[in-house]
Amino acid sequence: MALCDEIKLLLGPFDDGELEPHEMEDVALHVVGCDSCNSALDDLRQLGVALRDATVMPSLTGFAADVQTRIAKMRTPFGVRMRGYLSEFNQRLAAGIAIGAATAASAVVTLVVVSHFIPDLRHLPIASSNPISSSNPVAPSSLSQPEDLARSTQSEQPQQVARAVSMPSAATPASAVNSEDLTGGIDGGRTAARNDVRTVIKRLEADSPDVAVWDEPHDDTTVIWVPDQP
Amino acid sequence: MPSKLLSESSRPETDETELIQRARRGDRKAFGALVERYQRRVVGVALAVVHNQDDALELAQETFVRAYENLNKFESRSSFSTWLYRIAANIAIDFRRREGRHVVLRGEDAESEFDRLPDTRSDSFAETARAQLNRRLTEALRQLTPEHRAVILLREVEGLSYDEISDVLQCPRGTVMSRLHYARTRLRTILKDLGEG
Repeated sequence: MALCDEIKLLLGPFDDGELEPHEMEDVALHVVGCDSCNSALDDLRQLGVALRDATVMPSLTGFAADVQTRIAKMRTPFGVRMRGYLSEFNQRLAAGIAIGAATAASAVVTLVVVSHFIPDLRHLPIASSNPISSSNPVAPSSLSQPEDLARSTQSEQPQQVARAVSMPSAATPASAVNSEDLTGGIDGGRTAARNDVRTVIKRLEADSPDVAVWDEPHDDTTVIWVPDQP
Repeated sequence: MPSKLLSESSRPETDETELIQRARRGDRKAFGALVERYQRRVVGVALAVVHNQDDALELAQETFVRAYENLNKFESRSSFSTWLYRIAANIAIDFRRREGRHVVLRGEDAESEFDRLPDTRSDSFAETARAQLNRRLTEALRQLTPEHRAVILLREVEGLSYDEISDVLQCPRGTVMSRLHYARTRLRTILKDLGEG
């Protein structure tokens, strides 16, 4: 049975489904009609079942963990390390660029906002010391000339409140005078200062009849009262 | 006909591709997922060649370690599973060559192997016959060369196709077919002799 000998060579691939379609058909047709080949095919199939039955797969519990343990102990391959470094570098670079961009944007916004207010800062009022004070004695030498004072009082705006100027009394002894109120020498210029004050008062009274001058004995000062200007 | 357990067509390839790429970048969790996916089959391939459970487990671990070291060399020309099985087969074959022995069990080894066979103390006649057949089959497999044993076990137990076996064992398809035919014929003869003996 030459045909059976040829067919029996093909029974294995036939059972495995590895023949060409026309070969599968030829073998199938022969096997159906041949007890010998049919029996041989049956033996092949039983052998396969027995082999699968006899092969015992070992337990795989913990297998994956053991593999990971071995891998963890070994040095990471150079290529893998380089890829890891490059990946990490790229991530950090991206983060750095993002932070830098955010910082730059914040700085620009801050500059824009502040620049709008910088010119305004120049117009803020500067606190200045008013030489004319109701409570502080005024140094005679710091007083302007009587004409200037009259002019200044006359030139003041009507709404300006009348100011009372206290100054040391012309008769006040030198000791009563606050040395800090006098400029350009104290001892040597006190007499001259007193004379200057009397001169100023006389001129004020002569030039501005509305100006009132009186002495305050309790604090040893002379008050010059200038009325409001219309 | 055994089901094709190694069919990858139902698996989402994009998922595996992503795992491989992440593993290449040093993501060990991703590689762990690949290990869990293919551990059973890799052990099966190693077992088909060495026919010893302890050796098969050790060789399978070595396979995954080798794969991790050489992930950069994996190209998409073949499937990842085939690439893994090829590593496993090469390692197992090298192991057998180093050992320079067939799986001839003596003394303690024989006892440990037979202990793994089904319990013969069952009252069922079928169970007894089955256990007896298993013993005879194990003995018959030992008498095959490693190459013939690997081919028939990869086909019958692991369900690899002829092309996959050819790829894994790095031999032509025709060689796979001839070795398979020889192994089957030889086993049938051995079993018949063992049965008569």
